[in-house]
Amino acid sequence: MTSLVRQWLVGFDWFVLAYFVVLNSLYLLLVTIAALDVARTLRRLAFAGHDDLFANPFTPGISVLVPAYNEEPVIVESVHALLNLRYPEFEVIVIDDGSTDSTFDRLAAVYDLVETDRVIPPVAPTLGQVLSVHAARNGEPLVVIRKQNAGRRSDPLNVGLNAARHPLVCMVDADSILDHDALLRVVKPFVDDPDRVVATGGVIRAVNGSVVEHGRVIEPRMPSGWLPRIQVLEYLRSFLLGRTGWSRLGGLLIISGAFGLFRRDLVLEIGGLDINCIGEDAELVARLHRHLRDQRRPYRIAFVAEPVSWTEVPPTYSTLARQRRRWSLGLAQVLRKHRTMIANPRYGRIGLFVLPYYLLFELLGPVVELFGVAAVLIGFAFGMLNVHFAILFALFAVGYGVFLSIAAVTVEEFSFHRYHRWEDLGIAVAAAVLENFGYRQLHAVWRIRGLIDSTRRRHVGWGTMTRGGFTTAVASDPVSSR
Amino acid sequence: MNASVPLLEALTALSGLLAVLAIATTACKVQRALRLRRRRRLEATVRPHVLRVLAEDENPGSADQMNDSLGRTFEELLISLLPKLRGADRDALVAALDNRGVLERARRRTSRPGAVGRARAAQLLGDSGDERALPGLARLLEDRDPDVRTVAARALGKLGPAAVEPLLAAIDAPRPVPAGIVTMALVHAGAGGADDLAQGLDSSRSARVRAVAAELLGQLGVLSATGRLAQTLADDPDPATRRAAARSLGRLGLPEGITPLLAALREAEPSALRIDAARALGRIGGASAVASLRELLVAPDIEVARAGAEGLATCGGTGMSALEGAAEDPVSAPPAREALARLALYGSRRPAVAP
Repeated sequence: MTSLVRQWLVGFDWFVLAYFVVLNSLYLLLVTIAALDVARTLRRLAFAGHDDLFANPFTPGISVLVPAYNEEPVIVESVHALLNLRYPEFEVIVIDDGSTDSTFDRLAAVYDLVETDRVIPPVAPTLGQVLSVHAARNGEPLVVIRKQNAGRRSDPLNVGLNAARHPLVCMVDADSILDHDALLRVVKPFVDDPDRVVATGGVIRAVNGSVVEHGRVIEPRMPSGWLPRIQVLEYLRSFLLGRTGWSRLGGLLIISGAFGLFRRDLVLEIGGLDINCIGEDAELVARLHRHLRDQRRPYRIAFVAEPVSWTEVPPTYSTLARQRRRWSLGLAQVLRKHRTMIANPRYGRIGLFVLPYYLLFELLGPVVELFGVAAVLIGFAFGMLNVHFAILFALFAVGYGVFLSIAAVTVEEFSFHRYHRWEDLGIAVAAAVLENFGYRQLHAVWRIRGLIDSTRRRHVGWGTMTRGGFTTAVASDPVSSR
Repeated sequence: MNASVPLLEALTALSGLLAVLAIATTACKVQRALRLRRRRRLEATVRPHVLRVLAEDENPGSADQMNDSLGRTFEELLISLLPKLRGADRDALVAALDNRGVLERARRRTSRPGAVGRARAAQLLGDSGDERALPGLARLLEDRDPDVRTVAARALGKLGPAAVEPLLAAIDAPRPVPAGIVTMALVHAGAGGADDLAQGLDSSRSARVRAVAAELLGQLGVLSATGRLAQTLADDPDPATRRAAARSLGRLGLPEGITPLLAALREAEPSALRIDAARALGRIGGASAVASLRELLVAPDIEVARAGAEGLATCGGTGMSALEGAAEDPVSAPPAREALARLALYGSRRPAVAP
């Protein structure tokens, strides 16, 4: 019996080691590619021609879709920021998905909303019935659609897609604040390569703790709690390095629902967002890849590393746990729905590399991680553990995690350096170390719970998020704090 | 214990890497702060010279006495102001840059190996409107780097009508410039190159070139091109070119455009063309336009019906009467009511959709 356990443990240890080496080599590759790409982008920023885009009468119009469910603390500031974006022709469509708080009333009061007629053709499928359509009496390009709650984010987005009037649609979370030039930046690939670009995504960063005035983030700062601080770092790592790297490799699978720009005709052509999928943003991109590959149409899905959508990240463990569980469930649903694409050469890099990566390392990663810890404990109990090796391995695993996080901080400092204060840099480094002790393990548990949810096929819905609202504080002197 | 050795070595290497990253990050932050302070100090020193240039009482020789750092900062300030100014102020900046040999250096830099350097040079030459740069910029339209080609196209547009033909040719070049970029550049070039643009409608040119030419002739208000555009709308085999011609006929607003636009409203035509034709007819107006647009309100494609309503809303009094009548008819009411609601809210302040 002991011999059997020993054999199994040794085999599993080798598997974990190989898994660890492959995963971290991939991360290293992505970090390197992303760093080079960011450097290239920065060198070329001076002649990117964003001012020309703004003055261009042919720059395509954008309908900004904002699904909202109980967003009372943040909705007015968000919409204010959106309406003040620098872009030649756009409209903001807020789709109130049956909020039970004062989301609509606050908008109605501030923008003097009046009920109006608007034809919303039923092109993309929807569940909740549209109750009324409102427009701003003061001439702002704002439309607010009230509808019955359908318990899922994709439904209001499909209503918005049907109501949109412009050739491009930008999907934005209601708790997000976009950089002033964000639309000009994400639309650029559509103008530069109009025949092939079908979607672009931008960077998401955590707004918690930052100074926000009149719908603009005027000074990014680290939040006060360690939980949001760790998430700041996670977002930096994921967007600045991960997605930039994947995009450069032509394998961008996820465009965050918090900030993504799509060709409306194409999204409608594939039937809008999947109203039965929790990870509707990733599912939409996966379906675009599938559809365009099936039809052998040339296309490009790009990630733009510079414009930022600032979003409020969960400040409490319970909210964060629900969010991450939903993300894991969403990913599982996407991979299950598109399982025939996995390892299928017909789908090129997406089929052969990206989807297998998401399956093996993103979805099943936490399972391997927890089984790895269990194997160590069993080995220790049976006296089969090389303690010296195990300690070195644990140190290396933690050290590598810290390295990736610090690499993200370094790229940020060399490139966009949004955080000016020295104390923010110190906090980021501390968070990079601290996240390995407790947070990382909890995160694995939340993701496994999401994975289990996916096997039960239960409906999860919007998920409630405790909003703190955007901070308005006195900004520090930009020179002295540098 | 043997298995631990490579791990120990990897751990040591990782620690070294972490230390390098930490030092690099700190050094970057410190250096940026120092550079910013130095930059501000230098700018404060040269700003009076820049103001004197703008006041046109600068003795060109006085800036020559600046040391390298001050001279560079002076030139960078002049360059940064260039796209923001017009008229005599801009001319004064260009003259000062020319006197210092900056434009000559930029013209030479269009042939240098680095793509970033070539693009920056092209941008400066475009901002300065330096016509001597035309051959160099035209050559950059075939650059191997797509960003350089794009910047060169934008720069050429700022040099005026002489750039029209090379820009149109760049659309079909082996290393092409996107049609959208060329279109915008040609807007900057202005109506002076209308003849070259009209030749872009020739059937011997590619569909992309014809579409760009058709779009711009309307955008630039070339009234003499109405006949050619009407013919293009009626005959051209490319749907995108026909749509562009329809939009342009609407922008030009001459009655000669009505007949081909009415023909483009037929059910057999693609929806996208019918939509553009309906909006264009709305801009021109007329009794025949109102009657045809009224019929569109019952089209099965809601976007076509909506365009009909938008067209009526811009057709003046008879269009409004037709729209109000349609709003009472259950079949045509939805698009008509939507257009009336938009009019009530926004009047003519905002177009229904982007032009």
